[in-house]
Amino acid sequence: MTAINITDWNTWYGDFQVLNHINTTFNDKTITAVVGPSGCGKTTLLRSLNRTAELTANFRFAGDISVFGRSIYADDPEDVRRHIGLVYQTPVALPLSIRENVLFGPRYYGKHTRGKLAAITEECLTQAALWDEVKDKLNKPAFELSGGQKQRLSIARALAVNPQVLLLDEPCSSLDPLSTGLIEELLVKLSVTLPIIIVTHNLFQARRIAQETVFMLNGQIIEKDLTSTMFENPSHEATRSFFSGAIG
Amino acid sequence: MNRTITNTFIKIVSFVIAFTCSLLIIAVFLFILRESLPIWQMTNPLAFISGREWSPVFEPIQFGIAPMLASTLWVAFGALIIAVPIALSCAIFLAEYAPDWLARLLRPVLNIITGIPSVVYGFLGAAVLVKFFEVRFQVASGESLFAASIVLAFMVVPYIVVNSESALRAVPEEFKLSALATGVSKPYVTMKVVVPMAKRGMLGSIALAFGRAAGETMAVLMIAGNVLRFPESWFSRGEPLSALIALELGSAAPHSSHYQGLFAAGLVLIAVVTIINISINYLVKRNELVKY
Amino acid sequence: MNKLFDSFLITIFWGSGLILLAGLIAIIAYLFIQGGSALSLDFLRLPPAGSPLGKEGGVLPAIKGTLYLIGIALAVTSIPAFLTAIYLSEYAQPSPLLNTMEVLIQSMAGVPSIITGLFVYALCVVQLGWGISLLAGGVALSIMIFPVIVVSMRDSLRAVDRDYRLTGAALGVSPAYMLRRIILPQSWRAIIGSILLAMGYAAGATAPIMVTAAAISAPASGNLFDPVMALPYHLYLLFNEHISLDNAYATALLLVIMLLILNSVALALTGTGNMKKRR
Repeated sequence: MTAINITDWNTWYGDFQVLNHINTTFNDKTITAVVGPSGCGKTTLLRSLNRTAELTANFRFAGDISVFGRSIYADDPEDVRRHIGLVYQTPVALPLSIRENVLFGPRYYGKHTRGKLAAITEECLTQAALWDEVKDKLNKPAFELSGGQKQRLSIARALAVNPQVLLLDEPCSSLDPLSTGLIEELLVKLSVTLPIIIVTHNLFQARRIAQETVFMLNGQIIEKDLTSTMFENPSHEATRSFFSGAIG
Repeated sequence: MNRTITNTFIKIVSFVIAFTCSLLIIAVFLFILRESLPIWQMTNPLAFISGREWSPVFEPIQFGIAPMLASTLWVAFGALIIAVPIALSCAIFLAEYAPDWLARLLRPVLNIITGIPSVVYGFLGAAVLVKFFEVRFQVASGESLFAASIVLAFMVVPYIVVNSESALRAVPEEFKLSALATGVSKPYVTMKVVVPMAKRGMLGSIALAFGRAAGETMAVLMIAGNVLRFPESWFSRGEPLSALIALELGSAAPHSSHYQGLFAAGLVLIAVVTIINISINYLVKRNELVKY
Repeated sequence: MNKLFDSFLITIFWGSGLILLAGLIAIIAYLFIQGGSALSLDFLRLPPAGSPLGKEGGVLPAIKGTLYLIGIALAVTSIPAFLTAIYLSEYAQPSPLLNTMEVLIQSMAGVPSIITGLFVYALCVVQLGWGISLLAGGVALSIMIFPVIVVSMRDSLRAVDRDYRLTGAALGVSPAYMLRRIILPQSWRAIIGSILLAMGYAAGATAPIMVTAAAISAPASGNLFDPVMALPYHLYLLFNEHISLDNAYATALLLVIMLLILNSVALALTGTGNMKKRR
């Protein structure tokens, strides 16, 4: 089932066009990887989805994006951002306790009872594969965590507001292989319930966890297909040469 | 939703306050203009600025601020002549040469220098420096624009140093490293590469210091001599515009010509200083957007 | 030849740093030497006495007057300055309007303090009929320190890590929420430091209060519409009117000590790098 529908999407920063006639869909309960060389527009695509691209001055767009049938421009940007979670490349621990990091969004969005908040904390940290490591020190400052833990905390924080989609921008690029493995595992588990889009420069990672992969070049989507197909039998020459770097 | 309402409320209130307050400088300017209007209608502005006789109360009533304007400019430029070489050297020193421990000592020192009130500088200048001139050079009065320039120079040096040091530090390492890689000495690189690239920031800091020196009241009040004659040289006594206003405002009858004349003098002072400040601020802001 | 010039330059660079260091030490040492003996507990406790007034006794009413003046200045200016800083740092979008506002506020810092005094004299002392009064002096000081506080607070707010703001934006929370939960808790120390620095600046200012509030002798009754004594003006008078050189030194020393303490605490709270914003 289609979760995200991008129709003729173009973006500019000032006069510089970053994304060019993007037409594609992303499926629900699937991990889709977005790959491509630096500067191809992967990050801008992600930021367009959760409407943080427009926070940059001189951002313009044309076209439409809809998530589960509803255009992202139909609602206020804040609502959209809540429903489309984005985890950045740099692990960010807000200057709060671990518990308060997770509850940062929920506390803003509604009045929950203590019990509900505790439940949210445990559930999201569990989904982020972090619960066992921090359950005894929820009140400790989050900055004491390691890089890998902070990144899982960021995922928990994004999950705490019940997103419909989870976007990740090179989440493991500053992490060691062990932490990377943990995160890949938890993403696979999460994908049973959510569509996940992960921008990565690591083709092996795409191969490991993504059912589908999108290849971008110069602001355009060159090809999108099952990950296995992209590796073994891509349709485009550009795709082949990009992926051949991984195989050869 | 409650949170959005709170946010919007704060956004609106803070905007209104910020907007209103930013207009304050315009309000001050307009107000002073209004109070001084009769003078501008009575005397042609050029005559006001170049006139050498300031006689606001006794006949024949004349309003000429040339001596005061000259004193202001002389004392301020004089301060710069003394301050700029020392301050720029010190900035270069802090940015490029000072060992860590010395830099960490010097920065608070500069901070403290700015923290000392101008009246204390005026006092020390008058009690020590002026006395020194009187004794050393056997003159009746050691007060002079020169003495005032010395004290002002010391007061403005920190501003030049801090802002210039930032400008110097902002020069990207790559430029310094590539220049050094050709085998030239560090001072050569400093003077030929780093300083030219920091020129704009350094000039900006000098202009700022000029404004500070031109507007200073207490130090000049106590040191420059307060004589309404046109200063013949740097070593003459004089009365800068700021001192004129401070000394005569209390005795000028509200709304009299004297009163209006003082406002006119104030207008000239604020115009000189503000125009320089605004242009420098715009220049520096534009500069911040320019990447190498 | 080059090596000689290099050594020359290096000597100049080192020399300039040491001149400033020596200059400051000389000033402070001199003040301590000359004023130390007169600066006693009595000096702080007693009002001026003797003939002419101020030759003996102390400076208590001047201390009180200075404190009242600073108090009023802060009361008038802190909240508008804080709100302005919040707007500039958290809400304003880059635009010509924002640029203009920031330039105007920054330029206010360059207005000579005597001009601020002139403005308040005409507006409050004369037009509103307050006369030479504590309130007028407080207002003059508040205008003088406003741009200093705004710029300092704005920079303290902006110094908070950008990553936090991005994370908050991605979750869809409002700037007000970010302020309350992250930005203010991270920057409140620097903000207090900004206020302290401004207090110090106001405490030492003479020109604006000279024409709006200060008197040779006034009981510090706290009445808003009475003139007040103030330390910097008192120093000026003690010297200019040849009343007492010793007491002048003591007053100067007192002022410098007060300001050293204020500035040190402020600096400890804000960290260095704040000075170029001050005028």
